This record gives sequence, C-alpha cells and structure tokens, in this order.
Amino acid sequence: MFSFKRMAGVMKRDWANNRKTFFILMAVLFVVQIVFSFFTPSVLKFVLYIGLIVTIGKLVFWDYPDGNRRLAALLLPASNAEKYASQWLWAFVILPISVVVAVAAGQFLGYTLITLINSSIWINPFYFLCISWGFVLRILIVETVTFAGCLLFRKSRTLKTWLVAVGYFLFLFFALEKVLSIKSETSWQVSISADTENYLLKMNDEWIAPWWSSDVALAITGAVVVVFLHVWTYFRLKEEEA
Amino acid sequence: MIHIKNLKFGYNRKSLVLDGIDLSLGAGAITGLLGKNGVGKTTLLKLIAGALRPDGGEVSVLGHSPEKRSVDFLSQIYLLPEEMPEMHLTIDKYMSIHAPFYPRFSEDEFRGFLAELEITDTSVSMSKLSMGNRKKVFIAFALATNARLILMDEPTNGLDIHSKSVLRKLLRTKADEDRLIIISTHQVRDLQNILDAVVILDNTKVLLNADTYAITQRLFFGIADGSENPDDVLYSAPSVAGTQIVRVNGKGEESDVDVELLFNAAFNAKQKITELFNK
Repeated sequence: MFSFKRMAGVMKRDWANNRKTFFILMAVLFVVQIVFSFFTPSVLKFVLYIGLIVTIGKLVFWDYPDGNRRLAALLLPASNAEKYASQWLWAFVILPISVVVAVAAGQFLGYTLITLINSSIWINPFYFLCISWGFVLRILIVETVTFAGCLLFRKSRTLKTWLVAVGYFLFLFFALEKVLSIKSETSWQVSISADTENYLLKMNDEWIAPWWSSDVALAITGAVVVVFLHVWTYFRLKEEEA
Repeated sequence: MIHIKNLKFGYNRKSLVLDGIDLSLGAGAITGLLGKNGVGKTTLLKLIAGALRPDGGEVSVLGHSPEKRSVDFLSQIYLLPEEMPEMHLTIDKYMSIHAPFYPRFSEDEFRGFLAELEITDTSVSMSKLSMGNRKKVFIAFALATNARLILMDEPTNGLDIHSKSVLRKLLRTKADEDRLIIISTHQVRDLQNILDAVVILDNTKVLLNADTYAITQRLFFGIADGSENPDDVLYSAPSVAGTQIVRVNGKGEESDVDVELLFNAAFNAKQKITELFNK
C-alpha cells in the first residue's frame, strides 16, 4: 500500500543530504542568469543551461552511483513506488519550479540593472515569466532524460547524461522541428531562440514558421519520450541491484 | 526464518559465485558466516536482504521473497555493510530521518548503545567522523532498529579493542529467540565466543552449517596429548601451549569451539567434515 507519509520520509532524507548542493546550484543559476541578461542569448546559452540542469539532475537518484549509498537506498523500508514518487517530485516539481524561480529572479535583477545603467533602454523585467512555460517544457524534457540517465549510468553519469540530453535536444530541434515547419530552412533558428527576445522580434518582422510548431513538436515528441522514460525508469528502479 | 533452496547467483553469466546453496537458519541465534575471500559471503547477505536477485533457486526470509523488497520485509531486516556510506548529516538528524522507517526502533537504546561505544556528541556531522566511529553509529542504529533479522558484514573491521568488546556485549544483549543475527567476518577471534552457529561457504557451496552444540558433539578442540588416533585429527597447529588440534569427538568429551581451528579443519578435511555433519 502506497504511503504518502513514507514517501515524505524518503523526500526528507533526500533533502537532508542534498540541500547544500541544491542551494549552491540555485545560486549559480541565479548569477549566470544575471550575467546572461547583459548578452545576446545564443546556442551557447542553451548548452550551458542544459549543463546546469543536468548538473542539478545530480540531485535526482543521488544515491545510486555509489555502491554503499545505493545499498542503503535500496534497503530503505519504503516501496519502490514511494522511492520513485519521491524522486519524481524532486525532478519534475521541486527542481523545475526552483530553476524557474532562480532564472526569473536572475533575469529580473539583470534587466533591472540594465535599465538602471542605461535609462534609454527599457526591458520588461517580467519578460521571462511571459515565455517561461516554454522554458519549463524544455526543462521537463531534459529532466526526464536526466531522470533516466541518473539511474542508468553509474560512472560519469553527469557527463553521459549531459551528452544524451544534448543529443536529444539536437535531434528534437534539427530533425523533428524541421519536418514540422512550413519553411524548413530557417525554422530551427526560431526554435533555438524560442525563449529569447529574438523569437518575438522575428515573429514581428517576418512570418517564418507557425508560431506553435516548435512547442507542438516539443510537446508531442516530449510526451512520447517522457512517458516511455518514466515507465522505463520506474522498472529500472524496481529491478535495481546493489 | 531463512530458507534457501538451490540458490544460484553470478555477477556474470559465465561464472557463478553461489551455485546450489541450500540453507535453513532459525531465529534465536548469532550465526557466523565464514569463508575465504571472494567466496560469496557478502553476496549471500545481499541476496538474503533483497539487494541482489538470485539467478536461480528460492530464497524465503521471514516468509517474504526478499527480491520484492516489500516494506513489511525491509522494515524487519537491517543490513550493516562493511563500508559505511558517507552522510552529510548529524547523528541526531540521521536518527530522526531514518528511525521512522523502522517501527520497533528505540531512541533510548540507540543513545544508550552510542554511549557504550563512546560516541557522546550526537550533534556532530557524520561526514566528520572517522570510519570506525561512523561504523559505531551504524552498529548502534542497526541494533536499535530491533529488526528481526540483522545482517552484519565485517562489523569489527575498523573498531578498536574496547569497541569490539562492547559490540560483543551488545550483540549478546540483543540476541533473543525472535531474532537472528548473521555476522560475516574474517576476524573470527573477535566474535567466536558469542556465536551460536557457524556457516562456512566454500567454492559456491555450503561446506558446513551447524550450531556450536552440534559442533562440540562431533568435534573436540584442544591440545594434543599424544593419545589421539591420527586418523581422527582433522587439523593441527603449533601454539605456545602445545599443538592445538581439532579431532573427531568419539567419546563425547567437552570442549569450546575454536572457530579459527574449525575453519581450518573444515578446509583441511572437507570430506570428513561433510561426512560428520551430514550423518
């Protein structure tokens, strides 16, 4: 029988062991976002974000790469479903919300600073929140890959998961969106800058691709991959050995 | 409490660590699990705890199939590994987080055991403790869970002489008729006086599984006096007091089990040991 009390106990255990790393990573994300507010967003920004998100993913299934900790986690008196649910909440609720809050706060501060430094420029400091849902969608997809990767890889799991996540993103942007876009040659550029100012500017300047194409592509492929990876991760956890 | 039938397990398909293990162990004992390096002692403990899945055969522990890792099962067992995981928690925090998972956990006992093991400051981070002191914390926690099955892998490694003595006392205190404590160890001298039964693994099989009463009924441990029949001597080793021997106990003489001598005798005269204990 699934027990929310036990699941909360597992979450409490994970929080107690991870809170320091969690706060450090959020602080890094916050500072990086302030710095990025002064530069034009680029592919590099995306790669760095993925790196950060995957690093945050280290907090998920944090026990499993280490033999002794894995043994302790597997033999913790909670059901596989409770352990899975705890990790799921970390990966798909707490971490994304925290990332969005850290990024939004960083951007708010960054844009406010830009406005204060140069009064002729005004950028809405709440701009990020207008498009954050697309950002969250991307985080959720990357977190799904991370979720599975953290349980799959024992050694160098961050690097391996990072490579898988980048590969997955490249696949998503370069292959699938290209197929779904009306004007295929340039559509991927739109997608990469989907959560940037350029996206809106380009939309106003020139109708390049259906505005929904990148997000629909993300949502459809994401949903398929997300469901598959979630089911896979659960059974992987269930059959995990010390 | 533990019923194992024709258990097979290997870390790869080519070679099995355990092949055809049959073992039944009841509650109310402290059982020593012995064997040479790499024979599969830790593997067997993990299989019993459900941390590994058998490749064949059946394992039943407390009426459960361990590999399912049901909550009811896991809350009744505790596996103390040889190496302790590093935790960035204070001892108090560790207890408050982990104790609720064990319904029979006693905080008073935990603090009492820690005090006996000379761990007085429970507000210190476990990551700052030495390996030996961290082990003491986990030993105290293991015993305070009041789990029905406690599995310990090399519990005396890293402990000082005083702590080994305290551990023996605590183990004897916690041994009751509803509980089974299995200790895998190479340091047989550290624990031999508290063992109620001995299981020796050899080459993927169980070489010996007997309680100390059955062992002393069949074997005599002592100093050679020259009157022994050489055919009855399973093992001998020189010592300061004379030549220590393990021989067949044909006359029902009383002696105390010397686990180290027993271990050597078992490997020195496998055939004889098998015959004696399978009668």
